[in-house]
Order: sequence, then C-alpha cells, then structure tokens
Amino acid sequence: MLSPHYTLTKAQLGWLALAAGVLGFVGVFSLDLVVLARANGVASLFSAATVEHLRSPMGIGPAQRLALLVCIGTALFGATLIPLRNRPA
Amino acid sequence: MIQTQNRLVSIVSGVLFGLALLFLLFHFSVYVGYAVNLMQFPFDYDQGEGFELVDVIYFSEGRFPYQDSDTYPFYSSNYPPLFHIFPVPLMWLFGPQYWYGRLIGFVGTLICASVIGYAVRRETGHTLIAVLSGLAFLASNTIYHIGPLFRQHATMVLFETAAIVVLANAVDVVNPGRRWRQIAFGLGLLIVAGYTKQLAALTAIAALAFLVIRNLRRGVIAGIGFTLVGVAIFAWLNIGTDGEWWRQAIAANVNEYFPQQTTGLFRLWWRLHSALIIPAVLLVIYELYFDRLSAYSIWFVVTLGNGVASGTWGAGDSYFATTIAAMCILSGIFFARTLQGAWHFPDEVYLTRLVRPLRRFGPALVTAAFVVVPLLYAEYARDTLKLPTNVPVYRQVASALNLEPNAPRWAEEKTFYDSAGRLVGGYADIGHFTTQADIDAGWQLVEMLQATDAPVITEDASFSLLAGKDVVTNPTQLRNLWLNGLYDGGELITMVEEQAFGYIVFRAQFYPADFLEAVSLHYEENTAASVNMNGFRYIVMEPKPPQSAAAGAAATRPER
Repeated sequence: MLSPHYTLTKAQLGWLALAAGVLGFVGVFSLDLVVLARANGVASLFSAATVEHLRSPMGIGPAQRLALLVCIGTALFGATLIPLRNRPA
Repeated sequence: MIQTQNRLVSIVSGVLFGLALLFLLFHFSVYVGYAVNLMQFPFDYDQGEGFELVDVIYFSEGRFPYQDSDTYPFYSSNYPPLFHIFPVPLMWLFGPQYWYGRLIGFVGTLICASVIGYAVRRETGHTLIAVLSGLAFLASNTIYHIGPLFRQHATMVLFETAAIVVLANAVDVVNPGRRWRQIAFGLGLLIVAGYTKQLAALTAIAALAFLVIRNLRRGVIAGIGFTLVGVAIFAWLNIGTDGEWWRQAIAANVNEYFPQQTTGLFRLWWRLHSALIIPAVLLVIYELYFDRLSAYSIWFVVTLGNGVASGTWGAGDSYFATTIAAMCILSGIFFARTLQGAWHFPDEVYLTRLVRPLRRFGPALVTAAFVVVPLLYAEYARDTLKLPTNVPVYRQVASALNLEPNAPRWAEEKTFYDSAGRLVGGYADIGHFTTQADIDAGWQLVEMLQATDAPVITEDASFSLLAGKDVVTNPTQLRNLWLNGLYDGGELITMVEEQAFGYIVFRAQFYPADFLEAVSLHYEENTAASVNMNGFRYIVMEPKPPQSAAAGAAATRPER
C-alpha cells in the first residue's frame, strides 16, 4: 500500500464509504441511547420506555434524522462503488 | 469558439451566449459599483469590520490582538492573524482606514474568479466557458455580499481556491522534484488559508483526502508535513500570546447551533445556485463511477460540511462561499465537456448500460447543449439578481423588471433588491449601497463622542477610532467568551456601574447579558442623539442622573 505507485481503487473507496455510513449510523443512533442510559441506567435500554423515548419529540430530533439519512446515503453510495473493483478512484 | 455543424444552432447559440455574458457582466457592474461605494464609506458597514481594523492596528504596532479581555480595554480578537497582517504596510502609509481592507477583499474575489476561470480553461481549453465560470462566481449573491467587506472570509476563499487548483494537477506532474514542489506550494497556500480563517479546515481535509486517494504514500507524507507546519505555527502563536490564542481564537469559538438556520441557508443556496449546482453534481457522479475523482469534486462534497455549520450563531450564507467556488469550476468543466462531446463511458463499468441507449442521441444532445448551456447561465443570472434601486440606470432597470426593493430589512426606505431576500436566519443585512445620509449620521455620532473626555464604548469600532478614543471591548468576542464560561466581566461591569464611560453606542447589542443589564441600570437612551444609519438604529446610551442610577441598582441588587 505504501509503494510509490499505489492508488486507492473504487472498490476500496466503496468499502470505506460503506463502513463510514454504517458506523456513523450506529454512532448517531447510540447518542440517544447513551444519554438515556446515563439518565435511567443501562437496564432501562432494554425496556419499552426506550422505544417510547426514541419515538418521542425528545428522541431522534430533526438534526439527528438528517444525520441518519446522510449515513444511509453514504453507505448505499459506497455499496454501488464496490462492483467497480480495481478501477482507480 | 461556438462550433457546431448546424448553422442555425450556431447563430442561436452565439446570441444566447452573448446574452448570458451580458447578464453576468451586468452583475459584475453592480458588484464593482457596490465595492466602490463601500470603499468610500468611512464607518462599519458589516458588523465586525471595525474590529478587523483594530487587529491590523495591533499588528502594525508589533503586538498580538489576542489579549486578556478581563482587563481594560477588554479587547481581543477571535480570528487568525494573516488577514490582519496583509494591510499593515497600508496602515503605516494611510493610518486606520476601511477602504484598503475592503479593496483587499474585493481584489481577492477578482483574483479568485480569475483562478476559477484558469482552472476551467486548463481542464477543458474552453475560453468562453472559463470566462462565464469566473463571472458566475462574482455574480453569486453570497460572494457579492462579502467580497468587498473588510472581512477575512473572501480572502480565505481565494487561498483555498488557489490551493486546490495548484494541487489538482500536481499529482500528474511526471518530474518527482517538480511534483513535490507543486504539492508543497499548494499545501502552503492551504496553511495561509487556514491562518486567514479557521473555516479553511475542511478544504485542507479535502486536499489531503485527494492526495491520499491518488497515492497513499505521498498523501501520508504530505499530511505529516502539513500537520507539522500547522501545529508549529499554532504552538508559536499560543506561546507568543501566553495562551490567549487558544482561549480567544479556539476555545471561545464555540457557539449555539440552530438547525433551522442550516436548513434555511441550504434552501437559499439551492434556490439561488441550482442552475450550476445540478451540472456540478452530475460531474461529481460521473467522476465517481466513470472517471477518476478530481480535487474539485472532493472539495465540493467535503466543503458542504461548512454549509452544515452555517447554523451556528454568527454564521451565515458566507459559509457556502467555498462550495460556490468549487461549484463554478465543476459546472464550467461539465458544460465545456458537454459542448465538446468529450464524455467517455467505459464498457467495463456496469452503469454504462444505463447510458448506452442514449448513445445514438449523442450528436443531438451536444447540439442541444449549445442552446441549453447559455440558457442555464442566463437562468443563473436571473436567480442571483440583485441591484440598487436608488442609483440611476439600475433604478430604471429595476422599474422595467418590476422589482420591488426589499433591503435593508429594518430601513424605513428600502433601496436595494436582492433575490436572496431576507427570510433566513443568520443572514447579514448587507448588499445595499450606502448614502450621504448614512455618512452624515456617522459623523454626527463621532462629533458627539469627541465632546466627552471620558472613554466610550461603541459596538462598531469606527466611531471610537474616528473620535480618537480607545476601542473598548470586542462585543461578540466578549459574548462568546461569556457564553463559554471564559469571562467574568467584573472589571468592565464595575466601570459601567461607576458610569466611567461617557457614552455607550449600541447597534445589535451583541454583548454578555450581565453587561447589558448593568448598562440598563446605569445608563439611559438619549433618543435625540440616537441615529439611523445604514439601515440600523444606533442607540446612544448616556449615564443616568446619579439618583436614578442608584435607585435602579438598589431595586435589583437583592436579586444579583
């Protein structure tokens, strides 16, 4: 990878985007769960109250929803690049 | 230049291109008029210009403006140093003046437009589209608003654009020594951009991502060198200012975030620039699947992150300026390639099967492009239309187009039409031309301040500077520090309580809340002295009579 002529391929870029999208999605989603766990304890995460919280106005807000959509878009775009294999990015 | 097989299309295309060029030149004339008008205006036009000038004064005296804002004159800057160093020779020659700062900003945008045109010409060889791309940059409402201001944003965009254009083809240079020199030059321009304004960080990320994608080893080496130089300058600034650089320019630069402002500004950006955003996005998609990613595409996508940050308090449409520069280059390349029929869809790319049915229409599509491309530039000129309605010729044009002036927002008499409107939060109320009445009102305030021997506080620095007074505080910076728990305001508030200031002149009252509270208790408005200037009400506060101030303070003391 560190050779003077190595260049990133479309497939590698695709995998990177897919991973970034998935990790980003999990991260954004986890933000709320971390706040919830801090407030009510870890055990509360496995109750119906968690689902209620995420659905409530205090749960996933407009900025988070937008961030989740961006993450999904990044992951999908990454997936479409993977079939391009070894073409240089 | 306009070459097509069909003579009729060639004539129509020539006329349409001529009209598009004429429309964009009309925009350019408004821009030049606005810049010349502002250079003649001796006071603050946009909030904060005066404090840029104060920073220049500090540097011209060999001092850093990153000061301890807890002690008199409670002043500090929150911006990087370079933009304030460039005008220092002019400061030595002409003294503290606004015109040369505005001239630097304005000339910077002209150079930036030239760099954009150069990039399009270099990539495609199409001179007319290159000229239109550069003019399109200057026609953008966003660039128009901020270009001729004594603010560092437009200068940052110039260095960012120059850096990307230098780096874009550096990777293709065959000679290794020359290649590394070009990469170092590009990264050097990025350092300059970053120390002009912090917002260049995303351009740096885009540039390094481009270098890494093209060659991992080279990208890593360049990234390490870039980081070392950037960190060394940062450390030098921090040591040289006894930690105030970190406190004032970094720690205090955290503000409230309003998501609705971001979505509003994105909508505005789209509404004004969609005729060029669409081709720019199409080129990004093409490069993603059918070609190699260019520095311009990565830059365009990454700097959209600045748009996301535009919802921050104090931010605004200017946060899209860098993306607009990228958009002008990408759309120019897209248009030129379409006119040249220079698209290539490799058979081995699976998405080519979607394009294959269109291949037989290729020649017809190219012919259609000769009509559509100039129409898109004309549409862009229409979408970004803005002009003064109180200046001869433009007044007649506005009347002929049935345009109603809609700016300045708070002025009784509106004198400017701006297609950007004034509906989005965080939108600076600028773009209109100043008048002699504005200048007279400013001098009236200056004369009033000169009549007192006491220090004064003016929310715009120009009044203090022209009255020969100390510039006391940088309001928005104090507010930022206060909101981030980095400022207690004790000494300043004590001076307000002792009525040590002869006058306090407000414009937007962007101060810490406890300062405003203290002023309201110990000062009162002199309505006769307050003036309307430049679309804003400048409120003059003077010390209350002693009994009245004591009563007000006593009434609130138990609560404090």
